[in-house]
Amino acid sequence: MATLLPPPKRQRSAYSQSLKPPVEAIDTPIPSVVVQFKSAEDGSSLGPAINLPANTGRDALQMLVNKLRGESEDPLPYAFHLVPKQVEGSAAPARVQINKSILEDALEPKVGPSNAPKWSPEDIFELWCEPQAVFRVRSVGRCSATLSGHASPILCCAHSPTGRYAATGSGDATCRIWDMETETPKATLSGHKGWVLCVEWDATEKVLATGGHDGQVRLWSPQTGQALGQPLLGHTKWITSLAFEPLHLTTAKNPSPRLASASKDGTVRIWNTSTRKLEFVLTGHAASVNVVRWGGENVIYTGSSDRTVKIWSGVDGKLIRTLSEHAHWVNTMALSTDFVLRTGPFDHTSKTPKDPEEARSLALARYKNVTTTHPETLITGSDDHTLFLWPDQASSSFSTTATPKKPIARLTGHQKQVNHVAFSPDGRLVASAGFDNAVKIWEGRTGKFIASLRGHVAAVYRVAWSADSRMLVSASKDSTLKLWDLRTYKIRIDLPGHTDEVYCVDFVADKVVSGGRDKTVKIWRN
Amino acid sequence: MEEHRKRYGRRLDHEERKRKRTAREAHKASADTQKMFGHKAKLHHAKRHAEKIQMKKTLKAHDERNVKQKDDGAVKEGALPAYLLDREGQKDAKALSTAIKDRRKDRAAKYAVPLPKVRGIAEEEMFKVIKTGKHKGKSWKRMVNKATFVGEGFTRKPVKLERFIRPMGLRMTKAHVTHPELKTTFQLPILGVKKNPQSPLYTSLGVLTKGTIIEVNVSELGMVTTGGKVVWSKYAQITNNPENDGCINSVLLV
Repeated sequence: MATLLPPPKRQRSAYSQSLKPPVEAIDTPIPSVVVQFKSAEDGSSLGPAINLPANTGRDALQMLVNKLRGESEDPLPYAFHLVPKQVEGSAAPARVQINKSILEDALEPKVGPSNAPKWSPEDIFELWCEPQAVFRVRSVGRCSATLSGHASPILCCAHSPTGRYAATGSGDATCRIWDMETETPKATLSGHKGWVLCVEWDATEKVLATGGHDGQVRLWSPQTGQALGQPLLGHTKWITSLAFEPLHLTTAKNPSPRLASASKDGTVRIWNTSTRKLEFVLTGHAASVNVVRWGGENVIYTGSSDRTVKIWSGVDGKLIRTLSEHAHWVNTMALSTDFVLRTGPFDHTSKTPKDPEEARSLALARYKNVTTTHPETLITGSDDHTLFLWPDQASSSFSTTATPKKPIARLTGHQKQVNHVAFSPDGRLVASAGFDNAVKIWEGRTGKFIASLRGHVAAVYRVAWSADSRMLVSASKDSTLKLWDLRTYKIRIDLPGHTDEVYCVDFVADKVVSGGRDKTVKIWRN
Repeated sequence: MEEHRKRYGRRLDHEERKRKRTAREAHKASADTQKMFGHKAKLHHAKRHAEKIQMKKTLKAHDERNVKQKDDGAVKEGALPAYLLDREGQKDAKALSTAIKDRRKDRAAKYAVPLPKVRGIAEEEMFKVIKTGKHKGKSWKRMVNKATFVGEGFTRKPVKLERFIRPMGLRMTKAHVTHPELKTTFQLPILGVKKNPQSPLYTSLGVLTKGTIIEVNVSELGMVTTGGKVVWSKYAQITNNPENDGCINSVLLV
């Protein structure tokens, strides 16, 4: 029997790697390719097709696009992708991201499935460019604070629009406000007689609304930690969702935004937050209303367990239309403008408006900036394992060719109920979390499937986007949070630390706040 | 009597008489009670006493049903977020309450098991001596009298070398495992015998007696660790005498 040589030692350390002889760079001629830049905003071509060496880096491509657009003094970062030719029956991905260069990512991909789309240097590369946020959110990587105080599982959490405070609602019938700069408790809001199921900040950070299992809605002043008047009574069952009127819809005469509260009893009530009077009731749903959203065009969207989505006028509460395509409960809903409406006048430059008038105009400017190219779209997720992407529902744009009752797309792919859906802040991507342990990424405009983020081993409860749309954090039943990178569609960092199910997560500025069944609030940061 | 009743029916005033008899029952009971003495009376009074307490309780319960109670304002336990509230029917076997985790934190409780002490088992009870040899003069062979767990890939040794026989009829592969928090029982495959408190030899033989710690496959219960991985196996302690019952009942150690 011949002597077997022992296997070579595993070379793992960086030092041993450095001892290896350097790999000889093989000189292969770099092909040059014809590239046509296209704007993903409106599909128009940017300049003529250009002949480039295929190994032109992403930075150089960015510079070229900025040149072509004639923006020399204020260059924008861009993301590039190629759309492969769809061959019948092949499972090619919907887009191929260019992270380094065309040569490395498309022509000679290092790793990839066998059915990856093939390009040859002779093709004309239609390179779609999407402008990205000019700022960059730092990735979170460690738990900087574990805040105890709640005596029961934490059911909901929400950052204030500026990210200065976070509010958490718990099963011990209190809501707590935490100061995010010092990571200390700021106020305890007690008054509810049941679990606090939802919290919502108004866009100016002046009012905090909480809804409880006892059917009450309460308003609080976050500055003082005191209740703003008596609770808003009227619902006969628990509150499922709250939504403030967008800031730009308020006027100088009625400066305080109204509040919509959806309840298990099947009604949505609209309250005046300054007088705490009921303005009107939206009745019409036959079962629990699971989610309510107040759109920027002054329409109220509600999704219900009676399988319908209803659109109401925010002026007088008249029913505008009913969308009934879903085959099961409508669990969740997101607007492409969610982020702008939520943050109101505050953007990444951390300027504070001087007076309410300025805040209103700032909020309107930000809203208009987002909706100029694409109107507000709606996506709904349901227990029937699918999502529907709906066109603009606001009455002002009926002239468009799309009929509002016809969905743009039906997003199939989840294998279990869809629990949460969220639009990215720039409105280009949609993330949906399902009970099938997966987070799926879809194109926000067309509803095309992009990627499936797998890694959780139990149901994913909540997802939250970073403000620059480059990262996504998901909270799961498997007691972890996971941070996903939207450049590679891979897990960026795993955030273990909770000892039980994580029920809620929120991502504002560069901090993530999460809470769950283990009664602790955790703050994650860079 | 029944045949007669079937054929001719009851007498016409049967219901009337029955009503009257029950109406006078209190009178009769009272008369009997007054006449009774001695041990018989004692038993009777005890019986009546219990009956009366039951009656009073029932009456009170009926009264309470009609009176509107004031809410004591206590907040219910077991809070769930709004998106899980309607899904209570889909409960699964994951219940890792904080109470248990706190208990596990103190070190004494770390090694606590539901059955801390076991009855000692003599070797005569555990093994049956098998006589071998042409004249049945040798007695080096033993047969295990208790239920055993034998791993999947086990092949018996040749007869001449097999010192311990583990009978096929007493081999167990599954255990009924009760989750102490959920109060539910699942039939789970056994993965191995962790420890038989009687003797290390019995541990290696895979003998299943009362108090033995076994490892069971809990992957289908969907438990997760804090690191977010699925728990594959957990320990359980046997609570019955498997050789008597023909099945294994056990409690999960959480």
